[in-house]
Amino acid sequence: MNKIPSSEITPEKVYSRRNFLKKAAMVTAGAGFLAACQPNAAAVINGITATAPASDATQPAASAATDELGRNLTSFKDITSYNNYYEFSLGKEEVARLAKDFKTNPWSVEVSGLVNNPGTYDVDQLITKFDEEERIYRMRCVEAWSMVIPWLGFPLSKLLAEVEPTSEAKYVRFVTLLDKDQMPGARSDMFPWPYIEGLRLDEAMNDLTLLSTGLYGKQLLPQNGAPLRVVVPWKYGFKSIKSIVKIELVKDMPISLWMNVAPHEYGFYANVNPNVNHPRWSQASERVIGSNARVDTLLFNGYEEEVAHLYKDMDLSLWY
Amino acid sequence: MVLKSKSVPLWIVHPVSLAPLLWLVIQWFANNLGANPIQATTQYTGRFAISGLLLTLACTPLYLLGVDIARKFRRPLGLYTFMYASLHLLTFVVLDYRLQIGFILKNLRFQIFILPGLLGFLIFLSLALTSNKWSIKKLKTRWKTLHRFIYLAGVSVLVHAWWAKKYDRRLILVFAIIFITLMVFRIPALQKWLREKKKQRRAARL
Repeated sequence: MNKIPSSEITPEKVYSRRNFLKKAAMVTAGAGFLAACQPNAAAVINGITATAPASDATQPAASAATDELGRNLTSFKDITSYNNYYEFSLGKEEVARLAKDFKTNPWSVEVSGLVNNPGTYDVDQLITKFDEEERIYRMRCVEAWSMVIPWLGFPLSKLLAEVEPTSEAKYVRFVTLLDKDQMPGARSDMFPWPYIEGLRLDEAMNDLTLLSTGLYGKQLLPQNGAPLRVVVPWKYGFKSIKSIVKIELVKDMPISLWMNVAPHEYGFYANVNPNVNHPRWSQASERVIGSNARVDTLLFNGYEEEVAHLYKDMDLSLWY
Repeated sequence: MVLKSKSVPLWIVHPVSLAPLLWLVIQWFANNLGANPIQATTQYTGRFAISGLLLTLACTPLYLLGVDIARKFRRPLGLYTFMYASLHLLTFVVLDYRLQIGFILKNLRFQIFILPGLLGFLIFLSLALTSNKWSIKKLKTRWKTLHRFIYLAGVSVLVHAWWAKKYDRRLILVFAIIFITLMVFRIPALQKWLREKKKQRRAARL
């Protein structure tokens, strides 16, 4: 269980094909860039990916084939067809179809609360304002499966620096769009919508915490939280809130949707931790999507060096 | 409502029970089970194990209500239930955990949801091993007592499924409602009354 099995390591043949794909993708990305200059860029790009046949030929490339631990990137197809997004559907493989016409342009996000410079930002404006970079992160779902995803985005800290949190601000509260016309799953009252998540201010300011607008060099698809989502790679996937319309700086710990519906199972912190189990199942290992291999789950999802200091005096089994 | 034994051939139980397995095997090799095929297989075999159990438990009530042949389906359906439960367990042990029995056992006390499933499987196993004429003769009255453990297995696999799911338990709720309905027929007074009714119908026909 301790090592990545040899079947996980990319064979050379696949690697060289990946290189080929990378070159091919650069050409495609170039075309995408040109398309992005058109006024309805989102529609064009979404249109291409939505209608493309699901085969290896549609696999775009990222800056690397693996993460820093040598784990292969999850395929574009798996990342875009296996989604927990309950506003659309409780079935992971239903989301892509139901979200395909989700309108993500225009889109603005309100940044407010305990800040000196509150504002409402257009997503396009954010993309031009803050340089986007690629970040290859592991994503560990609380259901004990994981992916490796090449996100595009910028650190949330840049936006927070812009709005200047006051000294009273201790937490950041995020809210997902609630639009029952476009989101069939949100019509069900199984959950107290809208989706809400939160981070402590120092967690939000950590350089790993990303506001993402894309993956694999393309704009996010609706099923992945388009057009703007949080990515917090050392926490379980549900903390990485999708399709954000509001970012609010607050004084008290926000109550997330999952804390609301099952407080004994889901806490505010939700750090990936193999030693703190879910009340009903173990978090010691995870299934890697794409390879069907099972690997050990790492403390803070392998980002211990970057984030462990945030929790140094805390009992993580208490603050799950 | 009264079906003649001849109207439904007994062998039909085999193709009907094996069809879901055939479909699964085809989907597996066609690479058609989505991004997480092991989870899909686990959930699929689990669903058919519970469905098989409910069908097995439906045989006696159907018989009491006049579908005489239902009684003959009970044993094969029970054995197919055991087959799907075994496939479910094998998926977990072999495909998912690659036979790392030590790791599975070490971790079991944190995998709370597995425990009632395991209890259900052990009951299925002992019932499958004694589902033959020889065991019925050998165990005499104890055979009936042993096979009543199927009710406990029903409760425990439903708890297992309930705990295994993160949040969406609508299907398990449907299973539970069917299970409770079938259990109502096991209320002694009701069962006695139905048996008497059946006797009267039979007498009237003679």
